[in-house]
Amino acid sequence: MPTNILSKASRNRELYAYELERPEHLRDWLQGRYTVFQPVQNQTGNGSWEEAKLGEVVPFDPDLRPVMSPKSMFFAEREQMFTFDGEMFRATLPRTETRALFGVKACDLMAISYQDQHFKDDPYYQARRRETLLVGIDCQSACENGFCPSVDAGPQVHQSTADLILTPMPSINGHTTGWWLICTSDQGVRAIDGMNLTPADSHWRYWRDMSDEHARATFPDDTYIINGIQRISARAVPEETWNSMAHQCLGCSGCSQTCPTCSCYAVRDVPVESGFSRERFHDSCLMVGFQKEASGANPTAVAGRRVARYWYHKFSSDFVAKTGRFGCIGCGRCDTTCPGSIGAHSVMEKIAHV
Amino acid sequence: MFDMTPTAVRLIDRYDDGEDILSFTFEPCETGGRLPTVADPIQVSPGQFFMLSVPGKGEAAFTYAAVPNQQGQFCALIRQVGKLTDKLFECKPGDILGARGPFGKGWPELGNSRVLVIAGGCGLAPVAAEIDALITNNTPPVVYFSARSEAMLVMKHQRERWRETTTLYEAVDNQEGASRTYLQGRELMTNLDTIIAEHGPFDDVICCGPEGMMEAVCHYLTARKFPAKHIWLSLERRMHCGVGLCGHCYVADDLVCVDGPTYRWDQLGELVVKEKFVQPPRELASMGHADLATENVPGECGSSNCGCGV
Repeated sequence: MPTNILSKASRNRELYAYELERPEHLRDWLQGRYTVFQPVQNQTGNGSWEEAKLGEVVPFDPDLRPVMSPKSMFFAEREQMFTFDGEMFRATLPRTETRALFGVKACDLMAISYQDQHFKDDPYYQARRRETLLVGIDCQSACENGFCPSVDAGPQVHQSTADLILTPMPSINGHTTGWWLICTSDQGVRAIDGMNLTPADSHWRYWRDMSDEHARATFPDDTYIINGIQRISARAVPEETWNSMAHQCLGCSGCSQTCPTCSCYAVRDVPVESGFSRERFHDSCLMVGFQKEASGANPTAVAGRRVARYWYHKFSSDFVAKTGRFGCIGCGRCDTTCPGSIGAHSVMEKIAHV
Repeated sequence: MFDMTPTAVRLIDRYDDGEDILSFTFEPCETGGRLPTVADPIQVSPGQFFMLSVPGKGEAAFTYAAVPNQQGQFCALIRQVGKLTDKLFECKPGDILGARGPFGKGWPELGNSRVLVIAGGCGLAPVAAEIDALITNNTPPVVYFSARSEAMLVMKHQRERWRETTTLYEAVDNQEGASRTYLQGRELMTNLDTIIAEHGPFDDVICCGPEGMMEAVCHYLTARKFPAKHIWLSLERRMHCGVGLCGHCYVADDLVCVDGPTYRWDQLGELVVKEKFVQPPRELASMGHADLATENVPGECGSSNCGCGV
């Protein structure tokens, strides 16, 4: 089926897949209508989300996952909410542009979908989110610290979390033969309308699932994570365990900053020329003052309680019952970031062996 | 979509109402013929709260000490404890501030039940509007109000009125220099014994004060077989949004700003337990086997239905 008559067919909620020689073809096509962001290896050697400039020849690295998830592209690290001129309060919604995030991994997409739910009525988040096209990419092997299969977030992109999905065709004798492009939403359909891609043969699903099996097989043993989840859900972790782990928490909030699902924020007033403006900025429940009231009362003055809170929110079945999934998407960024070595792996390993 | 931008409100009245405590009255600056939700008597119910913006200092949650009247005027009882309230206490009638709301769940509909209200210190503010609502409903409650000292007995105007329309007990911890005799505040249990003997039994209890006091009240009542399902409390937590987004006001998997601030004791009790380390009952966990094994005692299994065949 040619891509330009797809819109009608997509209402039947079937997935359509197309053959694509190289991901760059899609990226360059999207640049005609979107400001495209993609993972780029920057000067520090880390990956970051950078704008792909029109006409610039930058190869797309399908394996590169930026240090930071795209969280702050929707839930800004710091943003103005409104201004006050002495008489009137005026909302300042963000100016948005039509964007495409190109090459987002399954874990980060799951996190965006989780945040979409949390911020569903937040005008600032939604202003950015609804203008953004998500192009996912299936992972072919475990990444450093990743454990997405244990928390049902990857390595294959869940179709409900992206508009378009890129998946490599199987590599036979070491030769990669190309890519499939799977179209999962109306927005995705519109984005590729006019590309005139060749429809894929029906076997693409089989091969995609086969690749997923291969990818899953590359993940290390996750017994302690499953065990840890059960213990946290059963509230079977003694207070002393949390307290001893808390000795390693510097309260730096690195885990919250890099966590794609952390959504806490604080606000402050900033003087501006005409009066003042209210800003909100990322906050972390691991900070000692997070729950401290003006009176000095602090329900979570004990560091162990705050560490317990963080992991309870990520792994407890209490939240699964409320939000439909774990608060953790298994990206392992907390382990990469934490200077005190209490990221998900180390915490769950400790808990599992209490 | 949430509107996170406050409505401009004008401070129209303020007066001393306790040590470092002022009573504030606000009204919307411009209504355009329609009251904003934060000041709309149809939208606001007793026990709910609003977010007050003090320009330049930020925003904090305050309970409606009096729900809005037909003109949209509403009250808050505020203690000077930090930077935001320092600035607020400098404000004069006519000054413009911001308000958003109403937020959270108010007190439940209590019908014609006999209600005992127990309040400690500034905890009188969240129950005050409910006391007034019960009086209007012709089911005046019995009120027990306790504070550290006479100077901390807040809401004097309201209490004068309530003395006429309800049964009001007042207690202070420190009687020194008091202008009259009060019940001894530290004798919470004895005082409650007296009140229940004189006016009980009650169908519902509403309580707000320091968390330690609320816990003591709940334990006192449940120990006397008062059903936890009829004890209602109001919690205080730091809040930055009021709508369940910022994450600050959590208690276990609840957010006080949307799931509270009023709670039924059995439900709150469940939440509190969720934050605690729980050990299964030993006998059930081991079904008798582990203990037997470690003590090396041969013989019967401790349980009749464990299926071990011993």
